[in-house]
Amino acid sequence: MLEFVNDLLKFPFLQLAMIAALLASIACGIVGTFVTVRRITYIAGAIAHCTLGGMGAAKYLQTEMGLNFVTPLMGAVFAALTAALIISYLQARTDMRQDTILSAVWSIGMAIGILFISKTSGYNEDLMSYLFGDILMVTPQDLVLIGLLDLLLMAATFLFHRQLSAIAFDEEFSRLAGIPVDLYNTLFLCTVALTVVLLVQLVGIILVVALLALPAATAGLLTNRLPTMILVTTLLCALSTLGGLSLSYSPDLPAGATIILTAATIYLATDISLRIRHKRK
Amino acid sequence: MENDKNDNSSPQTVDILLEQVNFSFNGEPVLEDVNLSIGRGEFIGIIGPNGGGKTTLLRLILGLLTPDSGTIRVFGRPPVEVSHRIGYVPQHMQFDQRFPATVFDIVQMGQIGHSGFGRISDRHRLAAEEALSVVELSGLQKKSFSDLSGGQRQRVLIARALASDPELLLFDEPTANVDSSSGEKLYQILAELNKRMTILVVSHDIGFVNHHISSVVCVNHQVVIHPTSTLDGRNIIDLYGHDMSLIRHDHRCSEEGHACSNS
Repeated sequence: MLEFVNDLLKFPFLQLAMIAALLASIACGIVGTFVTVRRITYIAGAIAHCTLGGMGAAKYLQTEMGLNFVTPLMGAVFAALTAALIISYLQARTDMRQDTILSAVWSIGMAIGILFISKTSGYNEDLMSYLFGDILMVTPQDLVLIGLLDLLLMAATFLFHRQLSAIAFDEEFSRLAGIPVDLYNTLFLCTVALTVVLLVQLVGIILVVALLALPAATAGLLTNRLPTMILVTTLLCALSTLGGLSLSYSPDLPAGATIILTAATIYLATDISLRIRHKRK
Repeated sequence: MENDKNDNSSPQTVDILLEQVNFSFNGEPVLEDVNLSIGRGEFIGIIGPNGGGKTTLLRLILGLLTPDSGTIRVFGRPPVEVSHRIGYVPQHMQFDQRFPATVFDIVQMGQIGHSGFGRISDRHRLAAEEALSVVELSGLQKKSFSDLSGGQRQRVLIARALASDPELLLFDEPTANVDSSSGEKLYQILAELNKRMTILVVSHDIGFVNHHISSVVCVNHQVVIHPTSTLDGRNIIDLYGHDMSLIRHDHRCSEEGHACSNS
């Protein structure tokens, strides 16, 4: 821990990682809260895993086909938006079971990614970094992108939080009140997709799912209003990412996995202490 | 009753009109040849067994479903064009008990079609507070929705419907999972509201039919109007298909009488 603080002052890559963690926490706080109260963290999960297909295909086109302008980020954006639109369409227009839709999108996206990665020479180590990310490799450009995403999310939340909250609570009633619910839902899923893509670049596919689900679950135990839940989720995200980062540093543990387990420990500790307090009353 | 709008002799504005409406689901007819006319200021109870088509009827009036054939008019217009003028109170059991919202948050969701973006305006805040005082929950504004009893939640949902100042109130199963004293309280509130708006209440529980209700509509697939009949034991048994203990209540029919199944 002490070593982490010392090195933080010395090494710019650690400072970048910290800023990235804080900026990602804002996006996670907002999007995590909404996907949690709407009970669709699995949709975010499916979209996150689909980005593997996009990144794998983009890397293949780049290295094997010589299309240098295609970047993994572009592939990820394309895959995530496609996944969001497919899920949104299948849910609204067919009677397919939701978990079937998500399992299919989830696994097909990953399978496409694995196929492309296996046919791309010399880049198999990318698979691990796509799955678990590497927050210590963050570039200043990444920070600019995530900062812009945060601004977009904060503006949208300020303007539309009452509409989004009403739809999350009672979709049918909102429809009767004249809100274009389908439009909101599609735009919301596209926002989730963009957030997932940018976060995948920072922290990897699996950590994205954990950061969207765990801090919001903890905040849900502690708050009873949506705006406060967003704030608390953001704080808990920051606590988990910074905590995980510093804990993993000296023993040289993988940062992503340590962050997930930190978030999980915070959830468990909160839940248990609330239960104990409840019993004492 | 205090409400002269219910007077049969005065000319009535028709709020809801159904003509030869048919609706089927997956090829199974749910409602057949429904004709129904509900005048302004009435307090209607819609009763019938589960699966008889009550909820379908409600959803048709709200414009959430489209009939296979026939016409539906609410305030003289197709339902989808006027649904924002209808206050809808769904069953309170269907909600996520852990949703992070206070009582006031839920009530102001009723204004979502009118209140624009960003912060809520003072005018809408006042209207939401007013709606809460109508259902006698002013003191609970800041309480979590999840901490309320079933009866209180029900009243919060009424306040949400009232917050947009509706002309018609549609109510799905108000007494389900609500204890009887809360149920009575609910009907006092509805009777008071009936002075300024038309009210439709759907219930599978015929015990709810109390003296506040001006007419009763019975729904079991084939809804046929019996212009002058009264709801008596024979009709109830026809409707529910088996013997059951009956309650005695006073009810009177509108000009149209009330609809009862002949199946």
